[in-house]
Amino acid sequence: MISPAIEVHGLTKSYGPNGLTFSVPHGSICGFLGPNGSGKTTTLRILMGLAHAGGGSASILGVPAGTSHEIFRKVAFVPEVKDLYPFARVEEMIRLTRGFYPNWDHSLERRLIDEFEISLRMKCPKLSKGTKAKLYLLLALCRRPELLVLDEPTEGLDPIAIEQTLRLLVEQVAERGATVFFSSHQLPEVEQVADYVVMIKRGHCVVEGELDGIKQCYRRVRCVVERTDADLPRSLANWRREGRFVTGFSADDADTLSQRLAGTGVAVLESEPATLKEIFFEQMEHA
Amino acid sequence: MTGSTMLSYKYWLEFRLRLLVVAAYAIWTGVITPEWAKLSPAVANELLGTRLPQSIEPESLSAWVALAGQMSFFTWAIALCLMGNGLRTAFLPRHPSISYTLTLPVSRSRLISTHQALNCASALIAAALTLAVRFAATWWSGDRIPFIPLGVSIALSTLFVIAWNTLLSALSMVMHELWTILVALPIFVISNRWIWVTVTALPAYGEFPWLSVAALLSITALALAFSLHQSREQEFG
Repeated sequence: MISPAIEVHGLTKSYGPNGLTFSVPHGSICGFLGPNGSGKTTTLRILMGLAHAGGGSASILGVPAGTSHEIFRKVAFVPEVKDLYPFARVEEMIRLTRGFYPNWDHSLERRLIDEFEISLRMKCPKLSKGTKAKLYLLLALCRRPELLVLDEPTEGLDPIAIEQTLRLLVEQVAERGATVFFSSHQLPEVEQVADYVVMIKRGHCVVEGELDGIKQCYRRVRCVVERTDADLPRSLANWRREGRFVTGFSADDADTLSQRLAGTGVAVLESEPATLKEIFFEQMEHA
Repeated sequence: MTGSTMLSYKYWLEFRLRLLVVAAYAIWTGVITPEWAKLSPAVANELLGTRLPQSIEPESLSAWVALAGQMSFFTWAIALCLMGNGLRTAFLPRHPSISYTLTLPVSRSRLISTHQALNCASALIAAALTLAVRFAATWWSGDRIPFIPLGVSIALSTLFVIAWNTLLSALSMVMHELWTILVALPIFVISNRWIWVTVTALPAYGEFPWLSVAALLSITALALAFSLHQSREQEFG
């Protein structure tokens, strides 16, 4: 059995993760979701050895986090704040990074410089926020990493660059079998590319699994209450009621739910797979 | 290319402007003769606060005074100019690019030790440059060159540069570099006499300050160990 690319168990810190446990399978594109202050960035910093865990364990590619710099031959990280050396030009940044990686992908470097329209002579601090993000992505992808960890990779990018970025992430997995683990607040983007999702709230994991499987467990259901004076069954107690209509989420399909609600005076009107956004809101409000 | 080569390249990118300043200052120190050093040797020695160095011949005294008299400031100027620890970007200690540096496939120990080694090399080159320029200037003016005392003075001042630089770099691990400079000022004032006796006076009398050398090596080793310890203990990014 192949060990997960990332394994986090009972991770705690005075701020951020609070008994956080999850794992990311090899070769997946995993979206790491959670509201502001839920501990995403802190978790990524601990995984990259930039911060110390208060308790629990975290490992990347089977190596305990923060114990070996050699892991960065196989792992690339794009942080939340994508500033590079203030004293270097773009071409110097690329030359410097290239020197550390014998397997540097020169053709991808040329391709991304063209696609992202990055000016090589520009000084790094003078780059726009979006171009900094693109350059960081170039420096990460051209290393040919086995594991790519990205904190808000599309923040500051225009819609075209977002599409390019997402396509590149999918390419990494499809062509090289790399694992991509990225945090984002852009739920439609995550839904577009991720096949695995980890959702955290107040430092611990509330949802983890394959996105398709999660969606199967979260069907958006709309029911009608046949008698206005009827009480809702206990299983629908947390659902939202507007007049005679009740909406909520259920893991059951329409037929199964209809059977369960038989005799309660509630009839199922429609049942559809929920979007990631709906699942996220449901989890953040009720979990 | 090896990690060390790339770390040297990083050092060059980060320090190229400062290295130009150091080179310019080293040449200037070698060329310039302070006004007080142009006075009679006796008056100059009064200003220097030491007795006439008996081991230096009268005809090479002015050459010695001109350079040895500047060594105290030289040690601090070069040490401050080369301040940095290889992890944090100089004068931008909270700069987020540290996340990039620390996710390169090199250890923090290697980042710091390579940076300090390159600082040592820069200090040596600066000292050699100063000495070469001073020798050329002295030879050009027709004076005799006090090779040995000046060579020993400049070697000892380089040792001070390395020790101060490692100390300042270690302090910059735990505080902003502007605060480090403020902390360094009283150390500079307090240690000025020590530098003076070690670098200027003792070599002029043909003595070698073994105790000071041992102290400087200890400061260097302790400061480097502190930097390495802090690099493992601190959180970054």
